[in-house]
Amino acid sequence: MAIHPAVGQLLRLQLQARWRKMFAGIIKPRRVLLTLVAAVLLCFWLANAVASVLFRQSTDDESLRIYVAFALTAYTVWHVVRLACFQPAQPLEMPDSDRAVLEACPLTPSDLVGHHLAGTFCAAFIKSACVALLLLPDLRQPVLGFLGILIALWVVDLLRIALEITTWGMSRRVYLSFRTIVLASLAAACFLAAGTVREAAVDALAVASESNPFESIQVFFGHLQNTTAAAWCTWCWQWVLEVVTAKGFSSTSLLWLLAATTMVVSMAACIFRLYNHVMRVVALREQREYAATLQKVGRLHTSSPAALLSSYVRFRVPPRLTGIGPLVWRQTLGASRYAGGLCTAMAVPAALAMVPLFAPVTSEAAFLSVVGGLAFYTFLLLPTALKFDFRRDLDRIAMIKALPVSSLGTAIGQVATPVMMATLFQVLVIAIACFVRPVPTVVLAGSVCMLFLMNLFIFALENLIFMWYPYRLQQEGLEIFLRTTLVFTAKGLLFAAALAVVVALTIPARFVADFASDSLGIAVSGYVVYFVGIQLLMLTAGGSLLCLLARAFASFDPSQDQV
Amino acid sequence: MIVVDDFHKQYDQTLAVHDLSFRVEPGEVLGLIGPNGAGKTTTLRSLAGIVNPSRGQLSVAGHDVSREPIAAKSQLAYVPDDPPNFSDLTVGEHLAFTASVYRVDDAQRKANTLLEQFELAAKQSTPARSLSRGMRQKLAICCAYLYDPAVLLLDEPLTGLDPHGIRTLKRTIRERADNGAAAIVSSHLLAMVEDVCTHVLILDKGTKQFCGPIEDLYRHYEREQQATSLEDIFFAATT
Repeated sequence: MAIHPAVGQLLRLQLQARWRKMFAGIIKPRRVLLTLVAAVLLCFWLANAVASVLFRQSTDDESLRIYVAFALTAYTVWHVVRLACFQPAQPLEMPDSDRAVLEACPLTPSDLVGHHLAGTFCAAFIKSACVALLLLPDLRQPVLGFLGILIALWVVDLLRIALEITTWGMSRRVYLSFRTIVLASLAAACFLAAGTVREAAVDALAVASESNPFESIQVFFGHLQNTTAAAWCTWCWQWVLEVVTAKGFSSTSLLWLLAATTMVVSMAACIFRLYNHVMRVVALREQREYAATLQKVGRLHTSSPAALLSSYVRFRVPPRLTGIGPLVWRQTLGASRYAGGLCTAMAVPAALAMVPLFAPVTSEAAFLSVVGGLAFYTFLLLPTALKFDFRRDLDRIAMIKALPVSSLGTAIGQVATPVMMATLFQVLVIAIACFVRPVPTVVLAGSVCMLFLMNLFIFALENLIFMWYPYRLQQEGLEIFLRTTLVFTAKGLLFAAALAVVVALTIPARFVADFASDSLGIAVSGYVVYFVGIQLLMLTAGGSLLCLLARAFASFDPSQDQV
Repeated sequence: MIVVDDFHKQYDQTLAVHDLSFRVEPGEVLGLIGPNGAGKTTTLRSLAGIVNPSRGQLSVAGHDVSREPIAAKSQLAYVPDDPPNFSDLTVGEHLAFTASVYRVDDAQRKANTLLEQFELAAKQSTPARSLSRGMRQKLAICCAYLYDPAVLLLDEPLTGLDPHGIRTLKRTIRERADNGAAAIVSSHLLAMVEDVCTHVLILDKGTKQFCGPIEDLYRHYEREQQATSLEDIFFAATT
């Protein structure tokens, strides 16, 4: 299975080009400020990583095995569910420009697969190096630990690629059956695990109120450690876990390493065969379908197959609303085509956010914990799931700029759909929470209002960063890994800062309330002042970010800023 | 109708367009020709309000593109080379979107006429991503024609079109110009420029080499350099 040497050369050149582009991008004068912020974040992240490596106590072998097994299983399940919700448009995920060039080259399908696998291996290598560094105190033998993690992460990637090829090749009917089976299995697993997870969550929450959050996480996983699911997980990944937790270079550990390497190489070889097989199956199916169409044409005495396949529909013009209307309509239309997948992707944060409902606390406290959890997950996860904004329009920025809509109108129109979808999701979760643990209407309304403003802030920020540092959705590699890490670090810090502001606002709120009643004779509750203050603050922050986004859009130059 | 005055555009260390001035009046079709990298697309993008000029004034239908971008954009249609349609919208939805953004009255009737004209009627419910290159080009042209713009900016409009599409496009450009529109057509197909354009602007390395009626172009280059065909003139002007 020899791969064309040009494929290796192409990968090397692409890697060099990405580095060049990344460095050229970060030293551009108009991006200097953001580059400085990124540098500070990188320092913070590195310092945090080094501190956690140096001062953290090592985890015992059994716990490490469980954590790694759970993480790998969760990562795999995520890919399976994602692919059950979104059928891939192509068998191998790569930018259209790469595909156009590579498919036109005198390369075999195996060369294409080889190019793709080599690209994912590079990404897995970098991810593994970072994970191994973070797990350094837990790894008994760092080299074997790193190799074990590398094999494990690449295996997950290989499983993903195999599944992408398979699901791409499925007919609509088979794919819908696959989706039903996966989602039904997931629902059944959630149902079966609900009791244990609930017990673990209640115990973890009880510990959380008495000690630090890390202990509560340990208590949570400690509960799950003795379950059948944990036993299955560790059994499935045993061949990798033996390498990750190896104590040294012994004959046993080297044998496990050999077994794991053989396994991963065999999987890679299977992917080459799978790709060729699926391509053949799809070609045959298309021929069969066309033959059926021709038969139908004969039966109906239609002039041509095209006439049979075509249809004529009328359209309805969306309201203009200063140009915002059609932009929102278009993004919402795009989102509606992924409705099933989006609902599934949002089910996990919804379930996690509702865990505090089981805590033995008052209704208000449980409800506010749910709102806090929703805010946290919205901050971290929803912007990744809801990319129905500028982020999927990189190739169309020139077209959007040519529309007779103001920059601010465009910014609002482009960001409105994910903001509305996130709010709708939160309202649904809050409605369930309110049903289980009822709270006064004012608390309910205030929470919804605050979450809406927070969504506006988050999606405006996400789009602003994208406008300053654009990237392609299918892009992979070091640049995206670095970007994701820094953005997550920034979000974590921002969330912590926002919490600090929320707490600190109690002082001026009390002061304003006292001043109003003492000096002006107006009796006003401190809670009301506090609530209004937070809303105003969020509104100002969100509005300012939207204005900045509009400016960034106006100054975006498709000739220069395209990636 | 289209006025470009003292226009300059610089990208980092590259001067894409240098000291460009010209006018296109209603009823005129200006052929924008020049070698690759001459600054044709930059000029069209700047007129469309997509790229900000480094210096100079550009106005469309009496509206300064930098100061009154919305008013200018409402009057113009820009069809880029390889138009990036909204991949998940159908042909019909593209027209619905355009009708809404540009406030088109009687959009349904106009849309159906255009789709018939460009042989896209049977593709109304097909997503743009499933269309061929030529069909995507036709869709972009239909969207551009839907709101009867006063100014047409077409960048390599014939790319990917079939002979029927080419004939229809050439005819409709002339018809729209006859009805008072001003058009700029950037193309490397010199025969198309000869067929459709009333005026020609030759750009080379961002600098204007000639701008004027096509008859003056022939007279000028025949007298100066004995060039008789547009191809000869192109080489004489750009080497």
